[in-house]
Amino acid sequence: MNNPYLPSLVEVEQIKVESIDSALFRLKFKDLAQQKKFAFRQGQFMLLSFPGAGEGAFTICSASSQARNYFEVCIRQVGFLTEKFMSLKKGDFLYVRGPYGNGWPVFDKLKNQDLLLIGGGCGFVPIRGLVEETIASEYSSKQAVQVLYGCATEQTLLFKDEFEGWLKKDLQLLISLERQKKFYQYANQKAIKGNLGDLFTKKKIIKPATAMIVGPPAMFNPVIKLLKQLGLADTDIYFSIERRMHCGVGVCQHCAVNNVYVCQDGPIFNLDDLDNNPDLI
Amino acid sequence: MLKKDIDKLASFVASKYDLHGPIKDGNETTIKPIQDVTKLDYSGIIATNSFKSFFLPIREELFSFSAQGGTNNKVLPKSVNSKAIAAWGMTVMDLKALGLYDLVFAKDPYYQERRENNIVIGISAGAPAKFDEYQVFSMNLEENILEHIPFDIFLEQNKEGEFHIYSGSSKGRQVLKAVGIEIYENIQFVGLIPEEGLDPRMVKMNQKVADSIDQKVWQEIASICLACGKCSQVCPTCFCFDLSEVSEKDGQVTKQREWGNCFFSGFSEIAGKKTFLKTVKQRLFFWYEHKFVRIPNEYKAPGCVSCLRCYKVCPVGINIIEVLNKLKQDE
Repeated sequence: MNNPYLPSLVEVEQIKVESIDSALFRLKFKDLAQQKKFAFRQGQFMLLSFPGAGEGAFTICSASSQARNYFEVCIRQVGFLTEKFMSLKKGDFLYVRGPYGNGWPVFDKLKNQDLLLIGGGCGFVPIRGLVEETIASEYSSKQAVQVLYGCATEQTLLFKDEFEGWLKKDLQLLISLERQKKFYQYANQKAIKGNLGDLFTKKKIIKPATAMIVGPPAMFNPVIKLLKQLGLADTDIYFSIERRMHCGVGVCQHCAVNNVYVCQDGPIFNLDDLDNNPDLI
Repeated sequence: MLKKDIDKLASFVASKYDLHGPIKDGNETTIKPIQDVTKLDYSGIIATNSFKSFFLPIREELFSFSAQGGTNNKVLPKSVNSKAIAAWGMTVMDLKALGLYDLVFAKDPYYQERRENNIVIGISAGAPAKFDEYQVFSMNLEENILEHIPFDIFLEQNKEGEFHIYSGSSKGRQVLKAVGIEIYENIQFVGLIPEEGLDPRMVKMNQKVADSIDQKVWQEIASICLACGKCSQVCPTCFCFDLSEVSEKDGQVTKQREWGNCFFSGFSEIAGKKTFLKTVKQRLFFWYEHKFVRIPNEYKAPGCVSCLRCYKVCPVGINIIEVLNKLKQDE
């Protein structure tokens, strides 16, 4: 019988500091045969652990086409476990199990195939996975992909070094910063001062489109309201939520929200799901 | 079969297994390790504690792994490695709960190993003291019930105190054969769900509880509930668990599984200290919702076996039957 609790060893292949408290980790299974067999759907998460520091859920934020070689997670230091991760160096190891969860819908099956990818704060990490996915699959050269990124300050912006590359791949990137002394510039564009919602009034947002949102819970309702004003139907709006995870296999009950388990039925939900389960947001 | 024959069977079982069963001590009946098999209680009083710890221990080791570098990074799965237990005197209600666990932990190697090692002896006795109250959502004394509950041996006691024996597995038959018991009936387990389809009481209760969070009964009981979590501990179907770690010497760390409790504040907490089940009302509802909505949806079986252990241990006397009766049908 397969043991769902046993983790596998992964090596830190590369670490890139992203901000004062965040870093991007490229991880590779120690067992290369396991790496070659590894596959995931964009939006799925891994349970990462370090002996003695516990276990936590982290969404993969690299392209699924690279799964046979490596996968990436971006970690922000918020507690004991993430503090441990931040102390790791290239060549160090940690443990993983997964992938878990449902993942985002497959782009080509969407009704409205232009994409609005919306991320706030460290919720932008899974959005980076979606960005990587649209680039790797060349989806962004066929369909309009607009990325909306709301952040507190320039110092906490993640993936800054990648912005130019994204723009070259025909993605549109709009950034809002709540606090900035002078306007943050990326390529030939400027961030706006304000919150994510202000992007809707100050910039032209594409429509019709399918929207995918990740961010702090307080961000969901205002953003959803703006998307609806834009004319998006509930079925065109997807969002990813966070809950406590222990088992990852829908048994332990920690992540239950009424009749769903976020670890299995989520973490991605459609706005339509709120009709039956308003507590998701 | 007379009581002395059953004692002989129990003695044999005790020689092969670590025997645990109900013992009456003053006003309280509890499941304990058994030294003297003649003390086993057949009165039908439900023991305060449940049998669940023999199948899902309060704490169990899952594996160990190392925080050291180098070659010590292997993950070493732990084997169950405990003495096989005989769970003697499980009532029909307890066996229904066990049947549910068999479904919930169908893919869990630790549970399965333990389940395989242990032997289960059921008894027909078992109804709470106040039977009139109990009938509200009792599913006891149904027809063909024995085909729908798992057991190795089942003892049916009649009014005269004589026993009729059933076997429910080859493990059970081997034990009966070894003791020289030849008269017994074979029962084939056909799953928890009755032939007629889903339990109508379960379906009705599911509808009543789902989406009832705004009904005033939840606020009423939340105002007296201490969120002490005793109900979860004694409930034979509660199975929430936590995964945690214990540091050993030489940098080895043991991952363990422990009983969880949805009444405790850390249950839904995520990084940054955010909690989703904030109020006692939310936690109470979560508990009921698990039993009457999530479990029936997932396993097609009731998540409450109506043993009333929760009521018995509740320091403020919250009665699950009264709570359910107060729920309005349509809302």
